[in-house]
Amino acid sequence: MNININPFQQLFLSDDVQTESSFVELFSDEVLQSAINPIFQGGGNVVLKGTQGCGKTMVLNLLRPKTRISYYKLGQKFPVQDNMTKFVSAGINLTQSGIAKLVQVTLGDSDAADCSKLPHYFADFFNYIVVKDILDNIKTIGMNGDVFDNLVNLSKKDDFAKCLVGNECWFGSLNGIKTFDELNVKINDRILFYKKWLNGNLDDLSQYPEIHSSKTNIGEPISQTAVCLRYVGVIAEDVPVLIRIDQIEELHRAFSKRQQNILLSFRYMLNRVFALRNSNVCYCAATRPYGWDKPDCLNVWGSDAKLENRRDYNIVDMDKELFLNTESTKSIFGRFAIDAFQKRILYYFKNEVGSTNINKNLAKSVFGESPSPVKRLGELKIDLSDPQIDRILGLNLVEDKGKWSTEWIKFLRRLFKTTHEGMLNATLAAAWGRQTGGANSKLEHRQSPPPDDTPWIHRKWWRKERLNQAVLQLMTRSQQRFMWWGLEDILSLSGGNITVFLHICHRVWDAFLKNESSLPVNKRTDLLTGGMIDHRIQASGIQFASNEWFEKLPEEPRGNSRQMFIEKLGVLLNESILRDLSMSYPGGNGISISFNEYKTTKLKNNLLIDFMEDAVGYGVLIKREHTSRSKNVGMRIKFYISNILCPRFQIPETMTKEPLYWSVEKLYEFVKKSKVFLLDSSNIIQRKSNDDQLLLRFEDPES
Amino acid sequence: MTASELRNLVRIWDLSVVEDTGIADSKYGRILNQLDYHANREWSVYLPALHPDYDNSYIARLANWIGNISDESDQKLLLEYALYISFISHNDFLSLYSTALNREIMPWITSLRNIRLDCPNFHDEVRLQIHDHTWYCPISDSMDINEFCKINHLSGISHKPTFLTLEKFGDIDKIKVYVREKKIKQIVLLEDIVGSGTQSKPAIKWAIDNIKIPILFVPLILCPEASGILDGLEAYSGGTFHYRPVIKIQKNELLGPNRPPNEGIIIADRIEAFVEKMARIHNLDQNSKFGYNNTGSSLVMFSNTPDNTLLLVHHESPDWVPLFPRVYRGEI
Repeated sequence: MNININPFQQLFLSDDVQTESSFVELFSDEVLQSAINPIFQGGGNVVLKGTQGCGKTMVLNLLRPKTRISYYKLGQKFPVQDNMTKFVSAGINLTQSGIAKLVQVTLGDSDAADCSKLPHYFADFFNYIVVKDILDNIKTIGMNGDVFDNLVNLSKKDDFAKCLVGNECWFGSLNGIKTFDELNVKINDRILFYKKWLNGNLDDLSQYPEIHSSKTNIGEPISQTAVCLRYVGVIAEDVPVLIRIDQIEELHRAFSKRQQNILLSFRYMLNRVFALRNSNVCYCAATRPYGWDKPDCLNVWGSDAKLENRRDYNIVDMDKELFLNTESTKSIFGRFAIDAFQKRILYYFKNEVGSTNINKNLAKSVFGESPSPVKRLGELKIDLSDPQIDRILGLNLVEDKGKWSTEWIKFLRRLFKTTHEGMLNATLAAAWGRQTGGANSKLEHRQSPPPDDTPWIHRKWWRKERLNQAVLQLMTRSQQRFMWWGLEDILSLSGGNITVFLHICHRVWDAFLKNESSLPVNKRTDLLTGGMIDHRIQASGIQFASNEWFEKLPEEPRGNSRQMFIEKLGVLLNESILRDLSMSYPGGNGISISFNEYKTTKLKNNLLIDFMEDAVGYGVLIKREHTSRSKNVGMRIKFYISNILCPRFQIPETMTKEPLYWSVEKLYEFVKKSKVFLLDSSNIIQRKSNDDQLLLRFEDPES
Repeated sequence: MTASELRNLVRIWDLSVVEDTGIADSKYGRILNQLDYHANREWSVYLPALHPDYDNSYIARLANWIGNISDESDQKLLLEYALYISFISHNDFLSLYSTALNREIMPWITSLRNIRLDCPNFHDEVRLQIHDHTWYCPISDSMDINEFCKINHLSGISHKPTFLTLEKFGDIDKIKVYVREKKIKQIVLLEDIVGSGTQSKPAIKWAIDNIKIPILFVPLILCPEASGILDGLEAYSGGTFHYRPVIKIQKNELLGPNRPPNEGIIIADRIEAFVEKMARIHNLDQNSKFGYNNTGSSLVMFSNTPDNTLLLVHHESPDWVPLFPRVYRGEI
């Protein structure tokens, strides 16, 4: 096996426009039908929502004609149901097109004027980019009739052009155009105008009155393009026109108050295309949660209305709907990840081994099974002297003085010395001994002799909820880290995010390759023919990946604050789990806040909510609703640190039992202690614009 | 220790709880990862290690070096220190040559010859002086004067003897005739690294005393200790001699007695304590445990390790394997 190739070196394939053919080989469509189907069946707007790297853009890329052509050339079946393959698509990536950079230009009047007028230019630019893409794709589809079953009739393209230019939605800007090619040139000119303006190559917009007086309404030219295509017969009446909009969250990456206001106006303008519910076209959008979830994201330009789920669009929450249950290899995410892994290996090592020879479930053979709690203790080498055992089990703590009977101490020591399983049972037994058995009881179990029925073994759920905590306490007090390895652990730590999964694979594979390079050839492991990566290499690779993910947090806007907060929270939760010797809070790897308190409208809580929701939106925290353990108390919201960050903070990522109950005041104080400055947008100091700053004054302005 | 054993050890360290903190920060794995990165790139060419007696692989040498000791905390310290060692690669030297000419030599010559920026023949004048009237010579043979001239496209005066050799064997009369015939108006002396200045001083003083034209000395890397000697030579020359280093090492970048108290790298105290311990165990010369004259440098060049660098980096004995073996020159 070639030990110079790491098949997971490149994480974000969807952003690489040169990979249409590799897209086909690497895209894992098997389990994404529930995301793919809503998009391709037309009949309504669809929003794909998910954290960074969950696969949204890869799904939208299936709409591109070039992707379809790649499937055809490679002889692979296009992964869309046969009855949904007749469509025309076009689209825009709000990042790559540069359209969001309109926020950097000014009309020269005031910020308020920019806020009210720039969105119309945004709308116009958007229309022209999308229409241009439709025209290009029509041509591509038409020239590849064998791929697309002659979906497009290019012989009518000039008639189509004449039909389109006559429409009043263009406000005369296309007058005089007679052919499809002339139409292309004119559309291109308008796009070029905007690109020049964005790059500061145009002095004064007033010199272009024809642009100012012919700005188009958002969505209208796109709709009319679809109408004309059908009317003239370029496409059949029943062929849907699907428009991709990718990276809507780009409109929420503001670094100043001015940018924030203007980008939000752009967003409201964009929302109009959804609100119009135009039957001529369907919009398919991809966004990260922080680009969609906030209520003020959903306003519609020129109206008091807000976008409504199920009415204006249907949302596919890829994190929740597809990838919620992540630990099992049989879950949707599990199958997706395993398939993606297999495809990567086949792609990069295809010269070494044919696809027929290769192991069918490489992820399983490369990573092996994840350990049981007892197996996780397998590396422990502990001095089994009595004082050491007492220290590990916390039997010699000052606060416990006199509370352990000699009988209990001997029992625990004896149990501890048997096997690794005995160590685990001793830890659980000690915890059980410290418990009272219920809120009303004050008598700790250790005040009676150790029971014969070993409830720490036989009370199945009590034991299961505490296994990870017991392992963590045992390992930490034995100067060892809690280790993760095996396929199930990796899937669990991925938290339903394919990019996190591939990132872990990258680091584990990298650690493996470095180790292999130090070994003689005859001692190396061939992963392609059933070899497994040593679990210690996996464990250190996973820990490395976790730390790397933590270091990445400041890359996103306001990421520094989130990083500081998570650092403090992670340390606190770890300490809390370790100090909880009675294991009364086995779910103490998260925090829970009252739903009502959380949703209150007081100022500080609004800012707090914004911060917490941002953390969820950026994938740093996981949020779930749950019912309180106390009756008649109502719903609560629980927050956990994102799974991939758990190895760094030595917190089990599994979510069992009740997390720690906090009040919103406690959360607020904790956020403040983390030195996070909760930003109130009304308090952002505004620099007064100073026209003089644009002029280079060499002389005294007074003279 | 083999490289494989080192990697295994680093894994064990990161998977162990060392400090009283919940954070498993992969500290040693990250250090090794960075060292791996450099080892596969700029650090892959270290001339003395190309000899068959040594392993050209940096990681293999690192493993053996760390394997010199058995105490785990000392092993970790050496791994941390390895990242602080500055390796000046061949490519780095090529950049230093360009910078020496553009940033130090050219301004000196234009100032010396009073060539004004608003002079209509500015470029021609400068070119004339740089190529035809300036004599570029190394102090010692460790400075690759040929590469310096090639990178900077310097033509003109063809003989470029080392001034240490000239000082020892040179016929001053013949040299003066050469200077006159070649119309040499100024001399630029170069050296790759100057530690204490004791090696360069006699050659420079000889040049000041015997060739009475302006001299600029450009050490590519200068240690703080040498500044005093060179300042003294400037004063001695009465204005005909100047020096302009390209890189000047600061005192707080040194280790040992020359480091200002409470300054320096984070692990300074620990490394110094370790050096003291090793000096006792291995009976090292007390005046050179932190490098020649206890300079305390942590520098390595692709061509060799200077003797001013800490002994533990290049020392070789039956009990100690070096990280960067050094080729010792004979007595100068």
